[in-house]
Amino acid sequence: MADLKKLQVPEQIRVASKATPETRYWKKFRFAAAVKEFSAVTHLSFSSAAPYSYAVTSGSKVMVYSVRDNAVQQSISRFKKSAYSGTIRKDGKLLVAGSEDNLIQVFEVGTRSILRQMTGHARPVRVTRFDETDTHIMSGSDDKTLRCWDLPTGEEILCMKGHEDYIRCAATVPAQPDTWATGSYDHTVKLWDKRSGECTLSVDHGAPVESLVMLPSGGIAISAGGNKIKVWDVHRAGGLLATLANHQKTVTCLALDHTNTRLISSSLDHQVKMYDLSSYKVTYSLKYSAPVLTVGTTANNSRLVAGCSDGIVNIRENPTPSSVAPVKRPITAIVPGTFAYFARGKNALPTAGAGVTEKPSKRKKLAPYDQHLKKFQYTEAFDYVMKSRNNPEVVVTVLRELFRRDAMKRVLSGRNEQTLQPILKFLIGNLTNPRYCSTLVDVTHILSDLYAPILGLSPTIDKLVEKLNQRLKLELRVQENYMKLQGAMECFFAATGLS
Amino acid sequence: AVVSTQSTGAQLATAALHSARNTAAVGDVDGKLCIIEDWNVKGKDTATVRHWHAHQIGGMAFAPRSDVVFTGGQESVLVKWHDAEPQFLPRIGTGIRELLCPESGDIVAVVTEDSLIHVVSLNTWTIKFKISNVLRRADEVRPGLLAIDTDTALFNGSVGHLQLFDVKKRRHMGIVDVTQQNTTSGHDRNKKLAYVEISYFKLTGDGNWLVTGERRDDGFITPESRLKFWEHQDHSFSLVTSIESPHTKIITSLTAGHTATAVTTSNDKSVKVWEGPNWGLSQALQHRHGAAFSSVFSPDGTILGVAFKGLVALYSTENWEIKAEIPQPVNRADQIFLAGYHLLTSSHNSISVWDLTSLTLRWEVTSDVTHVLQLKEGRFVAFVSRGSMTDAYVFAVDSSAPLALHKFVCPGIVVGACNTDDDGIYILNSEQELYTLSHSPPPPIALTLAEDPEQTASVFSELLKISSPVLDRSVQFKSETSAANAAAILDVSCSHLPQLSDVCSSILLDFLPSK
Repeated sequence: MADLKKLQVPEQIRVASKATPETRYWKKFRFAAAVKEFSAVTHLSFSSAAPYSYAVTSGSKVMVYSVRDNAVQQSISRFKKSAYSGTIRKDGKLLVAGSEDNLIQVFEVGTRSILRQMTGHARPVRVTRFDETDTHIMSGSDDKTLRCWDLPTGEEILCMKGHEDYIRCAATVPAQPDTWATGSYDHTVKLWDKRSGECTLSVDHGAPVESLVMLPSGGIAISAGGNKIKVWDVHRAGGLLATLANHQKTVTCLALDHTNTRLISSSLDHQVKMYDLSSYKVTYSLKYSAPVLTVGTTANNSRLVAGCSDGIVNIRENPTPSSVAPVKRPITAIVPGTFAYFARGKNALPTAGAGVTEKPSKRKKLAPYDQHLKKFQYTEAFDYVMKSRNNPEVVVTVLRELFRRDAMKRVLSGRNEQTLQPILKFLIGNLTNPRYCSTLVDVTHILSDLYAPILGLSPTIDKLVEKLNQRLKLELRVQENYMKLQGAMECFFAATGLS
Repeated sequence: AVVSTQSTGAQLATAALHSARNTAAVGDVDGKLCIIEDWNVKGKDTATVRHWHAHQIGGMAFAPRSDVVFTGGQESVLVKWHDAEPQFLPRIGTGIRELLCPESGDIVAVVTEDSLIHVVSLNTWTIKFKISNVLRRADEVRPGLLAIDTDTALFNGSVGHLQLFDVKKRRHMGIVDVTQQNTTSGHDRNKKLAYVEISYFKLTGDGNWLVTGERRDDGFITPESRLKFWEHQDHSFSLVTSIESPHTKIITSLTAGHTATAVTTSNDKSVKVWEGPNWGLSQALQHRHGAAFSSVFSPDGTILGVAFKGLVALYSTENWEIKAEIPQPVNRADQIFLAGYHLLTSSHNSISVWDLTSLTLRWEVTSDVTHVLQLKEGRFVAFVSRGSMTDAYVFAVDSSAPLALHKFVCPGIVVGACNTDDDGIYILNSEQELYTLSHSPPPPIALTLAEDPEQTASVFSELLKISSPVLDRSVQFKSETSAANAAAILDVSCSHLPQLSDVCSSILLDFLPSK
C-alpha cells in the first residue's frame, strides 16, 4: 500500500532574517528609559571619560544626563533663546553650546557656571565643538563662517570663510588635530587646515549635509545628506568610496560606535540603522515612534540614546557593555573523570566514540486536512480548512486538491446561512490576491452558479456578497488604471525611441 | 457443458474458478462480487452477492486451498473476502487489471494498469516488492525521450511520472515522481479524472539539471501549470525549484541549454528564459509576431533560435537582441535545429534547411516527417511514417540526398528520439515501446528474477544473439540445436521467460523446414 502523498503547500519565498553576531549584539540593548523634554531633541554629545555622562540639547536648555540613573543630572538653562549643539569635552568637565542670539557659551558641568562667553558671529551659532587639543573651540554658524576661538582667553583666532550656506555640522579628527571638517547646506563637505585657515578639500555631497563624522585615522569622512550617506576617501582627494541609501527620508545624524567599526545613522523615517563599516551593509535596524533627530552611544557602550522630534529621549541599555560581539566558545571535549564530566547536563553532546541509541523515527502525523482527504471526507476537509485560521496558501492548496478530485461542486452545494459565511469571508479577503486568484475565481463561479437563484433570503449573506462585489469592482478599477498607465508609458517610450 | 446460474444484474467484467472446489466467482462493472458455490449441481447452487468496490472489479483470484477470494478494483484497492470482515489494501497504484494467486498460497500478484506487478505478501498484508519493465499507460499521451548516460533512457511512465530504464540490461531502474499527486479515481466511474500531466521535460547539456513542465486542464476550471527544476546526480533527481504558472497560457515548447538555462515559449506571446542555479526568470522576450512554437540553442550556446509563425528569430544569448530574422513559409515549424551555420526547420510535411551566412534557403524536401533528431557533426535523422511503419533517413545538413536509410524502424509513429554518446539512437513510438538503433550488438539479457542464472543464460543467450546491427527487436536465429531450445522453453517456468516477442520469431523459424 502506498502512503498518501501529502499535499504540497507551496512556500512563499521569504527573506530569512539571520541571527548574526551583530544582530545579537544590538538586540542586547534593551529599553531602559524614555524621558520627555519640552521640545525636540536636536543634539547629543557624549563624554569619553567616566562617568560617561552625555549632554542633550533641546529647546533652550542643555541637559546633562547621568548614565547611572538614566535621568537628568544637571540642567543648564542660561539661554535666552534656543540652544544649539551642546557639546561635552572629552574629560566631561566642560560644556560648550551655541545659541540663537549669536553667542557661544562655555559652562562648567559641575557648577553650571558660565566660564566664557564668545561673541563674533553674525547669525545663530548652530555648531560648536571642542578641538582635539582641548584649548580651542570651533564654531560654525548661519553666517557661513567657521571660527576658531581660544578657550583660555575667549578670543577669536581664525575666521574661515568658504561655505556658501549655513554650516550645520562639524567634526574633528583625533589623529590630525589641525584638521577640521565641516558640512553645510551648500551641499559641500570641506576640510580646513587650522594652521593656514584655508580649505584643503571640498567634496560635493549632492544634498544639504546634515551630519558629518570623521573616522579616527582621518582618512575617511562620512557625510549624511538627503536620504543618502556617502563615504569619502580623504587621502585620495575626496574620492567617493560608497553610497548608502537605506533610509527613506532625510538622514539626520551619524555616530560612530565606541570601537569605530560600526556606523549608526538616524533619520526622519523613524528609523535608526546600524552599519558595518567594512562591508557598508545594514546590520540592524530600530524603529521609533517619532522622527529621530539625533543618536549616539556612550563611550563605554552601555547606552544607546536617540533623541526624537517629539522631545522624547529614548535610552536603551546594554546590560553587559563590551564592545566586541560575543564569540562562541569552542566546545571542548569533556574528558571522563573530570568535574566537568560529572556535572555535564542532559544536553551535552555525545563524544565521537560514544554509542548513541537511536530512537525509532516517529511516524509523522498527517495534517488534519490530509487525514480527511485520505478518507475521502471532502466536506470535512473543506470545513476544517475554512474554520481554522490557516495560512491562505494551505487553504488554496486544499481547494485545488478538491478541484482535482472533482469534489468541489459536491462540497459547496447544500450549504445554509451558517456554513456559507466562512467561505464568503475567505473570498472577500483573498480573491484579489494574484497568487490565489485563479483557483478562487473558479470557486466563486461554482458558488454563484449554485446560490445565485436563492440570493435575497438571508441579510447576512447578502451583505457579504455585496462586499465581495465591491472588492471585485475596486480591483477591476485598479487594473483598468494600471492598463491605462501602461499604455501611456508605452506610448511615451515609443515616441522617444527608447526600448 | 454450459451452466448458467444467477448473476448480479449488471454487465459482467471478470470471472474466476476455484482450483479444487466447485466454487466460482464473477465480478461486474458496478463493483459487485457474486460467489457461486456448487455451480455444477443444478438446483443446489447458492450465490452470495457482496459489494464493496466503488468501481469495476478488474481481477479476481481464489486462494488455492481455502475459501478466500481476492478481488481488485479500478479504484486500486485489493480486498480479501473472508466470512468475517473483508480486509483491504488500498492505494496499490493505478487501477488493478488482473490478480494471480499461485499454488504456494503465500503471495498474491497484482497487475495494475501501468504494467507494474505488485507482489503482496499475505502474511504481512503489505507489498513485498514490485516487478516492472517498461511502465505504460492505458491511454495515449505524448511521451518525450531523453538519454542520460550511454545506457539509461528517461521517458514517460505512469501518470505524472518519468521512468529510468537501463537499455543495455533491459531493466527498469526507477521512477521520478514529477507531479507528486495522488492519483485517486473519481466518484463517478464513467467520468475519468483529469490528472496533472507532464507536458515537457528536458535535460540540460551538461546533464546536471532536469527541467519539467506540467499542466492540468480539465476543460472546466482554470488550467494549472508548473515548471519544475530538478538536480540530477547519479540517476537520482531532487526537486530544487517549482514555479507556479510560469505563463498565463499553455506552454508550447521547452528547451534546455548547455549549462543551467531553459527557455519556454507559450501562447501568451512571450518567450521566457530561466537561469540557474537559483532558478528564476532572467528574461522575458516579446516579438511582434506573437506566440512562438519552438526554440533551440545553437551547439555553442551563443544563439537562441525561436520559431514564430512565419518567422524564425535568432537572438544572441549575451544581450538578448535579435541578430537575424528568417522568414518562413506560413506552415508551423514543429522543430528547429541549429547546426554549424545552418538552420533546419521541420514541420509536419517538410524539412527545410537555411544557410545562415547568406540567409537563403539551401534545400527543401516535402514528406510526412514525424520527428527529426540531431546527431553529431551536422547529421540528422528524419523519421518518416509510411502507412503503419516508420522509416529513418540519415542525412547531412548540406544536401538533401540521404546518407543512409533504415526501412521499417518501428511500427506506429515516432514521438520521441534521442542519441547516446556512442552513436546509438533510442526511439519511442506512439505505442510506448522503446527501440534502439546501435552499431554494436548489445550483450545478452541478464534476467534478474532467475533463480538459476546459468541455466537460463545458456538456453536463451544463443537465441538472442543479434546478427545484424540494424534492429534489436528482430532476432536472427543461428543456433543448431533448434528443437532442444523449443523444448527448453516449455520446461522452464513462466517467470523465467524473457519477453516472448523477442524469442517468438526464432522459435517459429525453428519449426520451418531448414533452408
